[in-house]
This record gives sequence, C-alpha cells and structure tokens, in this order.
Amino acid sequence: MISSIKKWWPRSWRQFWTTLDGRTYHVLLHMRPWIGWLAVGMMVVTFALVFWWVPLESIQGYPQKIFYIHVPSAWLMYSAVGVVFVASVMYLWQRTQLWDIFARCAAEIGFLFCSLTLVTGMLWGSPIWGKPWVWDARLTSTFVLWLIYMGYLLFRVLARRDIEVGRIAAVIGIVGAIDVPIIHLSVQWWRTLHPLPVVMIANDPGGGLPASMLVTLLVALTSFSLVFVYLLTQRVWQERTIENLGLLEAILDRKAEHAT
Amino acid sequence: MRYYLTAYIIFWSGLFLYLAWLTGRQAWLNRRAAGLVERLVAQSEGENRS
Repeated sequence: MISSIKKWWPRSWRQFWTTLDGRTYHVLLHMRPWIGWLAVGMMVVTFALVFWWVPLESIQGYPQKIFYIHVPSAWLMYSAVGVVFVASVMYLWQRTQLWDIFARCAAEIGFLFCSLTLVTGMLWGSPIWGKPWVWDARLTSTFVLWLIYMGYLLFRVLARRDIEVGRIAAVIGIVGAIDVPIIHLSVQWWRTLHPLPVVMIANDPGGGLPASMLVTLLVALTSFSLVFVYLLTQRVWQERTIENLGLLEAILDRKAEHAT
Repeated sequence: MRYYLTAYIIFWSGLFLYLAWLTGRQAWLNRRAAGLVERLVAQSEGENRS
C-alpha cells in the first residue's frame, strides 16, 4: 500500500501538474466500480427519503418535492461546468488529449443536467407561479448556459477536423463557465420571481429548512455527485478507449499497406 | 401531485436514456475492439505462414 503510494506520489510540483490528468484518470478508473455501486445505493436511499420519509411542505404540498431533484440537478450542472472550466484551462496550458476528453465528457453531462434543471424548474413553477416560464434573471441566465453548452457540443460534432477543435472548444468552455456565478448571484442582483437560496447562506449554512428536508437534500446532493463522478469516469474511459483503438487501427492499416 | 410525478418521470427518463446511450456506445466499442483483435490474429497468422 505504502509502496504504491510512494510510486504514485509526484516528486516535484512540475511533475504533479504535468501528470495530474493521468493520475486523476487512473484514480477514478480504479474507484469506478465502488463509485457506481455507491451511487446506486445512495440514489435508492434518496428516493426512499423523498417518497416516504420527508414530510409534505404545508403551503406548496407535493410540487415542493420537485426541490429534491431540481436543486441537486443544478448542483450537478455547476459541478460539470466547473470540470469543463478546469479541464479547458489545463488543456490550453498543457495541450494533453486527456484534459480535452475530460472537458468534452463533462460538458455532455452538464448539458443533460442543465436540461433537467430547466424542465424540473418549469414543472415546479407551473403550479406555484401559474406559468411554467418567466423571463426571470435566474431562468434566463440558466437558459443562456444551456444555449452555450448546446453550441459547445454542436461545435464538437460539426467542426471540421482540420481546424483545432480542442483549442476553440476550450475557449467556449471557459467563456461558458463565466455564466455560473451570474446564475448563482442573479437572484440577489435582480429580485424577481425565483426564490433566494435556502441553504449555504453566509452565517447560516442550514438556512431556514427543517432538519428532515435538509438531511434529504444533503443525501440527494451526495448521491447526485456520485452519479456525476461515475458517469464522467465511464465517458472518459470510453473516449480514451476509442482514441486508443483508432491508433491501433491506424498502425494495422499502415502494416497492411507495407505488406502489399 | 401531477407536476410532482411528471417531474420525477422526466428526470428518470433523462437519466435512463443517457445510460442507455452509454450502454449502446459500450456495445459498439466492444464490437470494434473484437474486430481489431480478429484483424490482429489474422495478421499474425499470415506472418507466421510467410
């Protein structure tokens, strides 16, 4: 155990930064089965708590239960955008393929959960506000993020191979990440329909939530985070394998050409 | 109740569709890897014969 840690431990800061992508990838890959099963277990616990344990909110009733998927989806969207930002900066700095793959896969998952955040928010807004959509600052800035990531993924799919796709995508990823603090602070900057945060407030981390709701939310946040790490690891592994197989195929084609 | 259930159904559908796509991609990757192994075996057999 200690010898394997010694083997993995970077010998200098320079080595730490230059091998960070590979180290992160290998640690995640080793932990993948555990993370997967833990994520499934935590998801089961989360939904058991939501359906059978947490009490109904007295004013909103059932629609308030959308909170336990809406907020964790938004959290997962923020996390994915954070990974895209870090991986894009690292790719522009080091130009290693693995950072580009991390950014691409995180953007895909971020887009999925941004869509789920918007849809679940609309379904919560319908009975409470009387309409599914208002051009409120929080909703509009989240929709802008959705558009940016849709553009990012479309660019990845449609861009010509002869242009430097990774570099341009990294710039889009970094610009897109600027929208996250705007989304988060929009409810404080412009007071409109969307409610203010109920947790993680300065001087009062628990907010005004009753203990049962806070526990359910924290369990949901943990399980969604595990789902994100699992999906990201699985996708990065797939993309890496596709690149490696492509390389092997190219070598075989070359060998076959030489043989004829 | 209607909105609450619809939100959960949409959430699970989204997650499962993504997982299904991931599984499909994995199956395609496995087929591609198997094809590559076949090519490698055929090539090494050809090299051994010659």
